[in-house]
Amino acid sequence: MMMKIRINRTELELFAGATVADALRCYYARHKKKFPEIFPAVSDRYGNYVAPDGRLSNGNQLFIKTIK
Amino acid sequence: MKHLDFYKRMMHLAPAVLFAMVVACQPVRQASQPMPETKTLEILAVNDMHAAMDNFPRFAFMVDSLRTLYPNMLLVSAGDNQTGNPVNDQYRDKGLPMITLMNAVKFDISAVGNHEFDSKPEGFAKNTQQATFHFVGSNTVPPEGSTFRIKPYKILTTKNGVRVAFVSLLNINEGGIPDSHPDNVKGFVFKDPYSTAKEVLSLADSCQVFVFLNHMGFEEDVALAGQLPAGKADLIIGGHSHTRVDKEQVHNGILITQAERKLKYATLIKLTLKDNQVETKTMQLLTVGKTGKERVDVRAMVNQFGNNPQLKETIAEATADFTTYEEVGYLMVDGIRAAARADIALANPGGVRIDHLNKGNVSVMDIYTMDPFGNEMVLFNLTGHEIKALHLAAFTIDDSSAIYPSGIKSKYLLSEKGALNDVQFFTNDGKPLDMDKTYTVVMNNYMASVYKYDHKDIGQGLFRTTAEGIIDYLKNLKKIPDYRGEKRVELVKTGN
Repeated sequence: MMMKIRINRTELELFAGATVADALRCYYARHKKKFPEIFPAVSDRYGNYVAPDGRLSNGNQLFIKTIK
Repeated sequence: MKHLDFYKRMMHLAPAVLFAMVVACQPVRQASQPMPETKTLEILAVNDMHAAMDNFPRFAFMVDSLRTLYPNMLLVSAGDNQTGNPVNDQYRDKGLPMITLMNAVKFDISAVGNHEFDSKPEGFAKNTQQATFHFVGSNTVPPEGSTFRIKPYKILTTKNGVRVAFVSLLNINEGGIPDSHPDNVKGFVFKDPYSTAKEVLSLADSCQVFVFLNHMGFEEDVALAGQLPAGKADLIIGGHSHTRVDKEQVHNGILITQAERKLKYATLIKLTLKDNQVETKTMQLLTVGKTGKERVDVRAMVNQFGNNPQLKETIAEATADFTTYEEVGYLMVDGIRAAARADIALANPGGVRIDHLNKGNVSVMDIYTMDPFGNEMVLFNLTGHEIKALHLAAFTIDDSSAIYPSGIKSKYLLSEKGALNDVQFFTNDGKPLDMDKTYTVVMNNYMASVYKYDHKDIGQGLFRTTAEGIIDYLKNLKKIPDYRGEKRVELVKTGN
C-alpha cells in the first residue's frame, strides 16, 4: 500500500490512515526541526485551511508557510 | 415659458414614458408564455461533527433561526457524526447521544462516514434505526439480510416543490475498505466511488437539484468533479479531510463545500432555480462555536448525557498501587497489544503522562487521564532487525529514554557518556529474539510518524485510539495484576 504525500517540496511516506498532524510531525522530524508549540497553519493545494486531525489520502499536497 | 417648462419636463420624463410603454406592451406578448417560475433552495451543511456535543445547543439555536428565514431549508451532514468524545463514545449504546441530538434538530439526511462504523456492526445498525433522518451510502452495500437503514440515494422534495437527489460516496482506502478497523466493516461491500458516481448520475434527470453528500476528502471531491459530465451535478458537500472552505470553490461547474470539523462551522448553501434549472449557487461559511444563544432543551439533553455514569463506572480493579511511569507504561502497552492482537506493542516514554494509579477501582475516566492525547494505534509487520533500527532511531528523539515494550524485553547497551551503542531483544522467557522473523508490532501514531528507520511495511492505522484499546483490555481483564518490580528494559553501560 502506498501513502505518499507532499508538504511544501518534501515528499513523505506515511502509514495508511495518517492525519495532517502525523504528516507535520514527520515533516519536522525529517528536517530535524523542533515541532512548533503553536500548530502551524496548513493549507491544501487549493488554498483551503485543513485541520490537524484531517485524514490524508495518497497523493495529497499540503503547504505550511515557513519552518524556523 | 410655460410651454418650454412643459417641453423640458416631457423630455426629462421621456425615458420613463418609453419604459412604461414597453412594459405595457409586454403582457400582450407574454400571455401565451408564462413568467419563468423562480424557486429557492437552502441547505445547511455540516461534516465531521465527531461528537462535538458541547456545540450542539448553539448549533440547534442557529438551525432554528435559519429555519424561520428559510422554511424550506434542508439540514445535512456529510458523515463522521461519531467518535471524538468519551461521553458519546463510551455511552452504553455507543453513538446514541449524537443520534438523539441530530434527531432533536431534525436533520434530514446524513452520509455514512468511516467513523459511523466505530459503533461496531450491531451498534451502527441500531444507530441507523434510531435515526429519524436518512443515512445515504451509494458505494456502501450493507451485509445481506442485515438491519442497517442505509439507502443508496434519497430524493427529498422541499415544501416549495424542489426535488433534490442526494447520493453519497465514501472514501475507500487501498485496502478496499473505508478508514476503519476491518472488524467493524465485516460483511459490507464497498464499491469504487468514482465508478459508482457515474452509475448514480442517471438520477439527475428525475430531479431539479443533484447533490453529492460525500465523505471522501476535498482533493478527492475536486477529482470527482473533474470526471463528471458538465451540467449533471450541482453540488458536492464534502467531509473527511476537515477542510475549511470559506470561499466559493467551483470545479467543472460544481460548487464544492466543506465546513472543517467538530461543529466549529456550518455551510449555508443557497440555490435559485428558474424553470426547474439551477441558475445560481452561493455558499457562506457560518461560525457555530460554543458561545452565543443556545436552545435550552438541547442544552439540557447535552448536560444529561454528560452525567453518563458509565464514565465513572468501575471497569477493572487494580490489585496494587502503580507508583512509577514505567509500571503505568507497561500496563498501557499490554492493553494496546491485546487490543491490536499484535505480537509486540511499543510506547514512547513521552506518551505516558502519569506515574501513579491507585490500588482499587479503575474507571474509564482514569484511562483518559492516563492517555489523554487521542493517539491512534498503527500496526506494522517488522522484522527483529527493523525493531532494533526503530529503537536506535528513537533513543535520540526521546531524549535518551527507553521505549516501553510488551511481548519482548530489551537491553540497551550504552557508552560511558550515555550514547546508545546497541539494543538486544529477548522473549518474555529470556531467550534471544529471532531477529530474522517478522512480528506484528503496534505503536501509536506519534511513533509511527516521527521515527525514521529502515522498514519495508509502511504500516496501517487501526482507527482506534490507544485509550479505547486499553479500556477494552481492562474490561476483559477485570483484575489488573501487580506490576511492582516489573522490569522489561535494562540499561547497561558497557564503556566507550
